Amino acid sequence: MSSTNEFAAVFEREEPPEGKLKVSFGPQHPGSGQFRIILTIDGDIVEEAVPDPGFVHRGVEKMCEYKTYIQNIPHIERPVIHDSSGVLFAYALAVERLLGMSEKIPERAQYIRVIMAELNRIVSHEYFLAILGIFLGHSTAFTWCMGDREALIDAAGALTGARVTFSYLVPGGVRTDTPPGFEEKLLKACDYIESRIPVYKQMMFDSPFMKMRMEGVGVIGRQEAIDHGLAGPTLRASGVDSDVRKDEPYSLYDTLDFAVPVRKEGDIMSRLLLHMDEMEQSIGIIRQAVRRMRPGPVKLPLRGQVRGAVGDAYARTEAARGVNSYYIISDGQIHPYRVRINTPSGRNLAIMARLLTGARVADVPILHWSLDYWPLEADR
Amino acid sequence: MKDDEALRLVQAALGALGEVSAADRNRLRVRTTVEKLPDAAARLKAAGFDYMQTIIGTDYPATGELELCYVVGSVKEGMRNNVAMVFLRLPKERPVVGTLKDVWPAALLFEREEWEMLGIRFEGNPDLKPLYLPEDWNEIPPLLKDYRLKRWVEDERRSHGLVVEHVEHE
Amino acid sequence: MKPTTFARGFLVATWAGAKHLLRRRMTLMYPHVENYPTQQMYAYDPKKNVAVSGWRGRHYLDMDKCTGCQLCFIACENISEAIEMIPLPETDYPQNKKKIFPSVDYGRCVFCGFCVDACPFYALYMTPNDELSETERNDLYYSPAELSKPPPLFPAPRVNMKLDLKRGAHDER
Repeated sequence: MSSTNEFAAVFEREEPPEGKLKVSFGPQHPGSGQFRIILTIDGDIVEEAVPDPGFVHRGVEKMCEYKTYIQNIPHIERPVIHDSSGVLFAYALAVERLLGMSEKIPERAQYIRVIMAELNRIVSHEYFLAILGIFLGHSTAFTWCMGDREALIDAAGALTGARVTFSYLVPGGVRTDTPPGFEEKLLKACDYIESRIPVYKQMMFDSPFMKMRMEGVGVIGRQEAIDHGLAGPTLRASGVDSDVRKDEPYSLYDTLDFAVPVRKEGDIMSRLLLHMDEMEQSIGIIRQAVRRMRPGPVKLPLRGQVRGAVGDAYARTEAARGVNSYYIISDGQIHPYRVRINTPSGRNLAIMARLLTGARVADVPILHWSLDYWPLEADR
Repeated sequence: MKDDEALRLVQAALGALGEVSAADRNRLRVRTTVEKLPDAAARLKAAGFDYMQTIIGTDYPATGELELCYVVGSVKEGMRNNVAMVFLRLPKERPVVGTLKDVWPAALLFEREEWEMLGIRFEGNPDLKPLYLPEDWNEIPPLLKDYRLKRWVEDERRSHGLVVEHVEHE
Repeated sequence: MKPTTFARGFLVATWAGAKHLLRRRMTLMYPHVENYPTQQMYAYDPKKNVAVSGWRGRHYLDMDKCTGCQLCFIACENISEAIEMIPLPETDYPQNKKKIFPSVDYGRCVFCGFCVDACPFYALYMTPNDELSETERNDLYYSPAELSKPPPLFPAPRVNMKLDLKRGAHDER
């Protein structure tokens, strides 16, 4: 293996071409986790962009090999705290495939899982809008979205006992049954968020200044999005209606009635509006699930240590930022042999260099954030 | 597309380039070799698997081999539920395989990660530079089974004077 | 962009913001008033094999029930390694022959609650008290005796968030 110091040397010491400027954008916390982009700038146009992730790499894949299937849960959700149910959903499905109990999960548990996954999708999208507000210099959007997000976190806290790190979806079902009054609280929060979405649109998207900043900037074409393997809202804003909830329905998504919002333009504005559309759909899903939920068990009895059968399992779900998949190999021990976590952020990184090249320096933060790129999730 | 249909489609596309099986629901498993991989990948893409999901590398020290698994999905109408997983084994002494960046451009980033984490060399990939690991990393690739995490943790703790009497429970 | 479109968009955005001047705000004077989603204890029912919803804060240890089986310690071992079994030779609980009890280091605990799920004897709970900040790191270490005390009662009233479609989010006072 070649020395990595060689690379560091190239990175740090190579002189920029005559008349150009080399800027290290980051790696302080620019609102979204530690991440750096090396920009070569001519005037205020980016000539070359080299994304440099890895500042928050914690080796979750390696750590998983040393822990039991249950002990992995808090570690897996830590990188993606805004979407903790979304990431654990795929993990739970993969372990259940491995244990051969995918078909036996109680119905009530599945409804609660769907509710939590969609709730986390709204929470994550609210966070997305809030941070985008910061990057645009629109601090009202930040305070509103962060504040309104609290309504759903409050409902989720009553159910799970934590604000963001729920550790709630476990192989075999969910950890607790709903407490009394949870459904009313949740539906009220959904009504509230629904009433806020038009206000966000008026505030953020009708404003001519926001339109000037975001319309026609950072366009990703349809074929380009597929080739680069992009995921989630970034892919769907480029005109591909790919959504795992429809493509390969897991849990109860095939019985629920919802649409997959798609936009054709592929610019920042369409990616934002797509997040709004998805929030509306998620609210609809939560309402259906709450209406259909019947009393019953919420967890399969898993006695003693979970021990996977010898074999492997690949499960994917649509988390808030896109396709989240787990590949688990088991050799019959209490620890998995290998866990591969594939996150949507890590995939959206593929197009960042292309997207930033030729952009203006002022657009770099919003371009980076509009890809739904969350460095902690990508680094794992 | 149903599993048996997809199985027939991929079998017809690949021919002798790989053994195809459909063991799990919506998952097609293709076993191939290093030499046949570029052709097999191109034909898979022509058959509709155009949406790269990930590359998974695994170390098997017992047989002295590394396993690579290319996971490919599709955005074609009617094929979206199918995922093709292309497996191949590499000898650990010479873990070299051709790049697939021309077939699936998304492979560029995943290959870079597998190179870093497992030391697999993807011939033709111009971008084999450290991605997630620290720039001063001078140990073996960390996802190899020889790399012991617990030892690292204990060294780290000892350097901070944090070693306490530890009871093993296994 | 046409000047009329520009003016209209600008006015709509300003009006959307201006309406909020009349709304009540959800701002709590924190040390005096706190917002808690729930005031239940997080507990686990080993017979039904399912947990009971509650806030996952500081632990509560029932020393009359703890048998010193170390299952909570094993559950925590690879997660945060916050639980340590402490020998208390002078105690005299008939069910605890080994005379060992769990202690928790809150400098490490991640409040996942899997130790509570591991306890088969209804001995470990998590209380809604999560205000554990201390000025010294050693004070975050809770011995079994401290864990078995009921959580302190705060003078500050705890309020719930209330949502009103017209008036926005506010507390329930």
